[in-house]
Amino acid sequence: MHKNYKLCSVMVIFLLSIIFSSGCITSEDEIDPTILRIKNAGKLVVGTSTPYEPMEYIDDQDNIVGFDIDLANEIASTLEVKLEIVDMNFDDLIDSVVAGDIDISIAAITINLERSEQVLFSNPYLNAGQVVIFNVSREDITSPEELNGSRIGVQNGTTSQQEAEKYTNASLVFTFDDYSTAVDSLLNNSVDALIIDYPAGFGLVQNNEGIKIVGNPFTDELYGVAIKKGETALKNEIDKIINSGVIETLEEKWF
Amino acid sequence: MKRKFSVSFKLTLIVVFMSVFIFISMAYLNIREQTELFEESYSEKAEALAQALDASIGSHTQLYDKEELLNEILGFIYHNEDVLMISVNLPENGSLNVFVSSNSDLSGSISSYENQETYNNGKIIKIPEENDNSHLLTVIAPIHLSGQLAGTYEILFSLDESYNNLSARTFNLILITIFFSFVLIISFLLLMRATVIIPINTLKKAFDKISKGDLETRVSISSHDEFAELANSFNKMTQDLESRTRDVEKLLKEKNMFIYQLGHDLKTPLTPITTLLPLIKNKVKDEKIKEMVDAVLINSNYMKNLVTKTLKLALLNSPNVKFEFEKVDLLNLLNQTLRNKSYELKQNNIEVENRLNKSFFVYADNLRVQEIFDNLISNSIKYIEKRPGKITIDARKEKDMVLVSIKDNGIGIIPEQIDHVFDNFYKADFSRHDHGSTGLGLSICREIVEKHGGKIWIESPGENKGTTVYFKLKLYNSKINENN
Repeated sequence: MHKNYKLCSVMVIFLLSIIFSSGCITSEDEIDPTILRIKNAGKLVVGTSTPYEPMEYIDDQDNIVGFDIDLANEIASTLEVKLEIVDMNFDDLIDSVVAGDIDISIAAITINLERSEQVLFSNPYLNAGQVVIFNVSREDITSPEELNGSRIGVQNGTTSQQEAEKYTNASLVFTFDDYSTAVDSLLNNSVDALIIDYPAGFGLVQNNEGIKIVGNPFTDELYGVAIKKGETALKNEIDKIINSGVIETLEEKWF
Repeated sequence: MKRKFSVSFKLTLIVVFMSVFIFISMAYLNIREQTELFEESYSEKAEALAQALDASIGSHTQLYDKEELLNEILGFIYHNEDVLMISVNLPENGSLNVFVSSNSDLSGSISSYENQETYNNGKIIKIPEENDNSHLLTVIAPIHLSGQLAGTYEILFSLDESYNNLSARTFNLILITIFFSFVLIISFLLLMRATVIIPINTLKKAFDKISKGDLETRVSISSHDEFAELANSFNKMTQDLESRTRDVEKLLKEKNMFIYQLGHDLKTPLTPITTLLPLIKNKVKDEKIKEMVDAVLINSNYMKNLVTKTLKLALLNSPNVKFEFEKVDLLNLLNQTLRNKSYELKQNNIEVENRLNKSFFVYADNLRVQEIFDNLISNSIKYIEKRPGKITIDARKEKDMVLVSIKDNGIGIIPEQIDHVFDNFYKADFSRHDHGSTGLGLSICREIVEKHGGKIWIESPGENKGTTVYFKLKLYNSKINENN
């Protein structure tokens, strides 16, 4: 018996030494002052601007929900703080970030040069570029390149109109003042396709039967999280969350 | 001998250490190679990405439109998860003209040396960086515009995901290594057990049996190797040993029978001689004849004594001897013996000090134990020359035995003789014509003590320094002895 006992102890020591030697050696990171400030406050103040379904809107129970809110939640829980949502005018969001009234802003803000000069943007988390919407009965067209010679419906004065003219004859581009008539035209085949930005297109497809989004956005209109300039550590944290696969889950949930 | 480290334990240790060494070094080499391969492939991927970005931006019509550039690089970042940051430097006339970065905190001065290098030579520079728990790779690559160097990119890649995959793979590799080393160790041990340990144990058991007297033990090992040969030799040896032992036993039996027969035949005619001679002595008036008869009587008595003791020893040696075991009080027995001997003791001016102050109960044959006392005290009387002589008798308990010592201040024994005193017919001094001694007393005592499961030995500090005889007998134990 003593033989087996010794054998076991040798095995156990061997195993333990492997486990300990391969065990992770974690070093305490020096906490960045921005993150420390948020942690000390115990809450992350996120500015947003409703309604913009499905990114942020007020649901039947008067709660602010949406893709961006979930993302904000994800960031807050990673930082181990509570989340405070501030609903404000879209035009005031960037200024509030600059002024430090809010920590960050997540409100379907398209990253552009002008805004980039005022705030620091996270890496893009969603492409709200143009998509093509078809009547469900059409299965012959799968990408905008195949739209040549088709009748395309767009909303008057949007970037969608410029995009549509790239793919078909300008005389075949029909403009609508609102999307409900555009959808009707699509359903009764007055037009072959609609070109619309992704979140709005998604909303249409959700609320109307018989139409579908074909393919991915074919232009880039990228949403980013607005952060105060100089707060690189916070940007890095948020970039990490964006790259961690959370976005895919949220896309599945909201689109 | 207590076994501290068995052969199998030592072999196990050797096997464990060897396989651990082999597997750790193999795992180490494997991991290192994988890491190198991974890093190589990753830097190739980074280069390919930089070239793809170059191609996409290079085809742009309005390269210097910052808004367009920003959208371009953001799109690139969005579609490539590993890309953390892209900066575009477009110098003109030696100074930075356009700088666009996905990180608007940057102003274009970072890595200016490397940017300059790339801008001058068109070569791709890779700067790996490792902080707390992330792996980064900065790639600085040239921007080509219609085949001409126009500026540089600075692309920051995160290698974390790939490193995570790598470490997951490494972990699997370690698990597999551990698993296989276990399998190897266990199979090796099983093999070792079958080929070495089991034969060794079989042989060991056989040796143990033989040493316990079971000479019919045979070993069967059918492995056709050295162990089988060893087993064969062992069996041959045992067979020889058995047959020789049988022969010796037979001879011993015959010897005992012969002695017994002879003793019996000698004793029968001696009885009338020793009984009739005193009568003859009384009838004879002539003093001279009386002396002669006396001499004959002494010698006849000596001869009778010798024959009686020889018979006794032969009887003790015979397998048919039976002892009447019972609860015996040593003190009682000793007092009885001393009473019987009191005349002899007084005559020789020998004082006996009996230190036994309580009864010791032994499980023994009453008459035989009395014979031991009788023999030993007689011996002491015989070999005490000083007057007054002294005999000290003591006893004490030792575990489940009682140790009795009989000490005298006699002539003692020299060390060379101590080993022989228990031999049959041995006398310490052959030259001494001693009618009282047969040389069998101690032999008989040893035979009796050993048949009782005890032990007897003699100690003496030297000539004329006295002798102590010790013997041990089993104490009476009601639990064990009554059940038997």
